[in-house]
Amino acid sequence: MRSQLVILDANVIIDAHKMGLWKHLTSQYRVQVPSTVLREEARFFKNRYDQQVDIDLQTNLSAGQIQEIEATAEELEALTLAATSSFLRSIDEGETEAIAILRGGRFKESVFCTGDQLAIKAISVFELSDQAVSFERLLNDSGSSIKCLPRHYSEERLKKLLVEGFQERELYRQ
Amino acid sequence: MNKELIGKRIREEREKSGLTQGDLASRMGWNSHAIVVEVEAGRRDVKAWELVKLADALCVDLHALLMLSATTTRPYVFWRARPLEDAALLEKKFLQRSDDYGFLESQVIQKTVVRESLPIHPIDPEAADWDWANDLADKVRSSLGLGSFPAANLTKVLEERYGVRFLSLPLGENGSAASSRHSDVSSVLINSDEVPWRQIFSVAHEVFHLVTWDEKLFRQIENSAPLKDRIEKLANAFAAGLLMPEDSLRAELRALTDDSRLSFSSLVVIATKFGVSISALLWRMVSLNLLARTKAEELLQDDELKRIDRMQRRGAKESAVNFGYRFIHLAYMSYQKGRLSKARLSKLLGVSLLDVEPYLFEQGLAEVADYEIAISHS
Repeated sequence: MRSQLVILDANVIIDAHKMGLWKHLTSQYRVQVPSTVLREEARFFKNRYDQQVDIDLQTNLSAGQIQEIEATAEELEALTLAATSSFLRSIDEGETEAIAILRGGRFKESVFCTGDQLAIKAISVFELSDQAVSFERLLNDSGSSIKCLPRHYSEERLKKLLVEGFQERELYRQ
Repeated sequence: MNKELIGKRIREEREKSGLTQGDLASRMGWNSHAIVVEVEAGRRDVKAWELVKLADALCVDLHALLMLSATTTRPYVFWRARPLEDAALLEKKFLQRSDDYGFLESQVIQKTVVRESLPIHPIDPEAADWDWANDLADKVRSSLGLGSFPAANLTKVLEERYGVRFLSLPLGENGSAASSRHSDVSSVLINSDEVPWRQIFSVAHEVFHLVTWDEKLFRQIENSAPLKDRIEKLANAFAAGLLMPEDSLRAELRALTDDSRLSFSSLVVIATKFGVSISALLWRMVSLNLLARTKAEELLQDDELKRIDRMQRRGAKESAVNFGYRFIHLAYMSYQKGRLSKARLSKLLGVSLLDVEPYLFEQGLAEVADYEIAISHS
């Protein structure tokens, strides 16, 4: 049953491919990918032999397995006005687009999954913690788990960073 | 922000970059300049990912592109020889990297740390001569504490003590260096395509422009080839004097001279010790009356000397000065402190997200769970 809408950051998409979990994720969740991540960032991964393997999100897109979502210029501009310039310079364009989309309120049913500590803090800085989900939780809830999941994808770390982000929110907002 | 305003900003940045609509279309992978025309006129929607790509092509931050107008005045950049192609874009890229450098410093270095300012020594282009440039080199070398072989720590002292930002870009075989000094921020652009000894000489040459910085004069000499040539010659004399202190050079020559004769291999050893090219060494020897000008000219054409120089410096390219070293360290520390996302780190380092870890490893850095210790500053 693909019910939950999940926006995935580039690092999750790349690692899901690397761990062989991509098909599982797209079968269990309605995966949404910010346009910048889809077209510019999640392009390849390295397999266990350190060989570069292409990530073909366009095929997933054509087959209806994932959905491309895009921030509007207004949403990007609103984020530019809401955050300090140093904060905006600290995160990359894919993360910027995802946060702008979440702030825009068009995707209230979606949750956002990233392993990046600053991107997780950003979710909380803009009081969107209800829309954050850890990769660990996504896997557990879909009946899959992986023994050696990197620590930065843990539920525990997500919760810790959301608290820290909220505490530091005045540093990042203007 | 509506389509018209976005189009206006894109046009502003394109014009500042010296690109035609066709150039931008080609950088964007668009098959016609008509798309740029439509975008700039506000008649076509620009998708978020296209905005990201446009910002990249125009060497501007996405957020700066989304600002209603470009508010900041671009600092002046003084080129030794302005590139014939893409000069405006290269200049923007240089200043953007310098700005990134400053941003990383602000993320990592405590605000209470106050750096020394590079001294300013006003230049009178009519009166300044070789002796003046040489004296200035002695003064600067002494105040910077560069010692007998200045090339060894020139960039490090300038970066760490004076906050000079060294950046490198591939400027091609004939590319030259550039510098900028504004609001006490000094930046130097070095051609990454040059061999290490030429790069060091370029650094010393640009230091001359930084310590004699006079924007009004620079703008004036841009239109006067003889004056420009004169200033550049003074900068070369300064660079030679800075990198090859007279006493140290004489001492080295004395040590390796047998019966007033010096072998080609000894010449190359001395040049390598001072971190300079054979050409720079020979001209410095001419200026110190250690060698006749005609002999220097003859030696510069000598195939045997060229061959020995090539042979002895084979490994030197690999030990090239890494002008991004401090930049990389600042980016790494900012990331380790949780003040930079990994994806942003990868962009700043110019490597893919997947290659961040191996890249850091190559630089002797590692992505680790960090710990802190208490330090007493008393």
